[in-house]
Amino acid sequence: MMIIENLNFAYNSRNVLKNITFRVDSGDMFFILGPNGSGKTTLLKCISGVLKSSGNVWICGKELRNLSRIEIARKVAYVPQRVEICNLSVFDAILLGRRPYIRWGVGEEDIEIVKRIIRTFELDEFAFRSLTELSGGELQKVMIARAMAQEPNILLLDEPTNNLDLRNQIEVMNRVRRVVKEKGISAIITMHDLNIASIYADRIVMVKDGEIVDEGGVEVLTPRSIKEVYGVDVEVSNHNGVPVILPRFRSEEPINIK
Amino acid sequence: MNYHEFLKRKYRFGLFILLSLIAFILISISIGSYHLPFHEILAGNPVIMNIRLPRIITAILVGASLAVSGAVMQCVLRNYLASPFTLGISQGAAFGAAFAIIYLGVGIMHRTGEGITILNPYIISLFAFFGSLISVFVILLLSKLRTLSPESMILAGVAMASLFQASTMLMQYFAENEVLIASVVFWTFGDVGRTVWMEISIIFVAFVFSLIYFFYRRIDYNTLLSGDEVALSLGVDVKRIRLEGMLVSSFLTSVCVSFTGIIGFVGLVAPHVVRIIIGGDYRFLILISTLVGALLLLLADTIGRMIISPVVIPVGIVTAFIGAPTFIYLLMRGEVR
Repeated sequence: MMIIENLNFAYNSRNVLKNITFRVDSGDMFFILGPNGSGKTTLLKCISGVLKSSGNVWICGKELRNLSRIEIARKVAYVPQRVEICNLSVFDAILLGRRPYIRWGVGEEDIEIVKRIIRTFELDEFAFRSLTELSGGELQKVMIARAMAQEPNILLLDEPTNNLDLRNQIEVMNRVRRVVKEKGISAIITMHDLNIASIYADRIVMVKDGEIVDEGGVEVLTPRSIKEVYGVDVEVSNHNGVPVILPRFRSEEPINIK
Repeated sequence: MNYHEFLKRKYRFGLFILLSLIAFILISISIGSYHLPFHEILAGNPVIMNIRLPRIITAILVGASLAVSGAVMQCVLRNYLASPFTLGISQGAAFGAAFAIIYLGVGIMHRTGEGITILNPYIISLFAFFGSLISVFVILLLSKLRTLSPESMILAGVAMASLFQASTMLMQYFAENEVLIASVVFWTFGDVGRTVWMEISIIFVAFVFSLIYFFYRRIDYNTLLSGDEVALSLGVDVKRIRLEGMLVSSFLTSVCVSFTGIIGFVGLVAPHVVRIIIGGDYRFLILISTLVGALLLLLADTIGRMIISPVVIPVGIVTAFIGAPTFIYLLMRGEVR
């Protein structure tokens, strides 16, 4: 569980995040939606401790600022948007997730944990391949697997489905949801694809210019809120209880953007 | 395949390099312009104890030190072109040495029948050490003041290198006599043949302490490979690791360079060779780079001793001749990015 209260962050005296307050419960898939430059990535970096922000962040009842780097790393795992590809094997890349628990050297227990994660993420056939040989989808799975090796309470994913094809998007999101539900952890996910978000979200916050515009379940995805945040006219229909968002257009006219 | 088998291949490569190194030590010790039968080598003939063994051990220690420094610099600066040579540390040392020789007159050399002998090597080494530290501190200062990206730090190093080279040339240009100029030029030729046991033990101590530190940080270096943000989120103090890594590797380089002069390419090429064969895992890269670096420098020095024997070509020249084409080959293969 995570509570964020009055979080502010300024970059070169420009306020990027203003009074962000929300709460993420255990077992929740929590989505942060908003246009480019709205501060989604910055928010994740503040929560993960990569950036220092003012305001209060509580993780499982403990205040973020009172925790050491290692203690934060044992509770919060972060998968950034951009992945640096290096010449490590998949196994060793996932093993890095054990860094917060390793004192002098890698133990048998760490190796067993990584083996288990490789099995659950069905990465067996890639285990000893170099990251440089993987496709985008495989790489994203490895990064999430690495985050899982941290055994976190909070999983932060910055646009995890970017650059993935439809099948890989669904595969990655299914896997994330499965771990979140099975382990009772929370995932905080930023995303541009509103339809994928509406399928997987338990809770959503919509962010614009560093401020929360709307918060709630999938029902917050309305034509009005999307118009406000993205400035695009959309139609929201209901498909088996899941909102489906489609930009409003007529065949002879381009989509209305304001 | 399981993980242990996967690791075993890396151990096996390390063992292979270690055995090659041992074999090469034996070959190198029995080669020389003064022919010695094998039983005299074992008996500890003075030629062995005072000339060949110090030379071989210096080559091993300096090769290992430069290689491990290069490996760490390449990681903390996130640039595979980083090495003691490309960061201007070696050139800074040459500048310091030239200053001591020309202006302090401490290093006037005299010609003997066989070559040139340095009269006061310690003061020169001390100034070479200071010179190399100037490079290091300018780069570190720039990175602190302007929060230079690791990628730009290497460019700052390149700029420092040419600045030092120009300063050294300027001093040489205005030097009073040609013996001084010859001494500077002679000093800058990287040579493992002028160290005595005392200097070797200084290099040894610096090497052992640095290696222990680097090995302790090996997993942190692996996290740095995945980018600063990932490393930070894994609880790694990225700034501190980067600063300490630069300081320790530069210090080790400075110690080596101040006793041996400029030896290029070992620090650049050795880590790449290891990376190509066993991958980029620093848990192995650190130790195996030291072995490969030692082997490379010993090989280069033995070639330098043999090729136009009895004249000994300084190892710095040999490494440049071997290193440059090797590096271009690696570039062409696309192994260096």
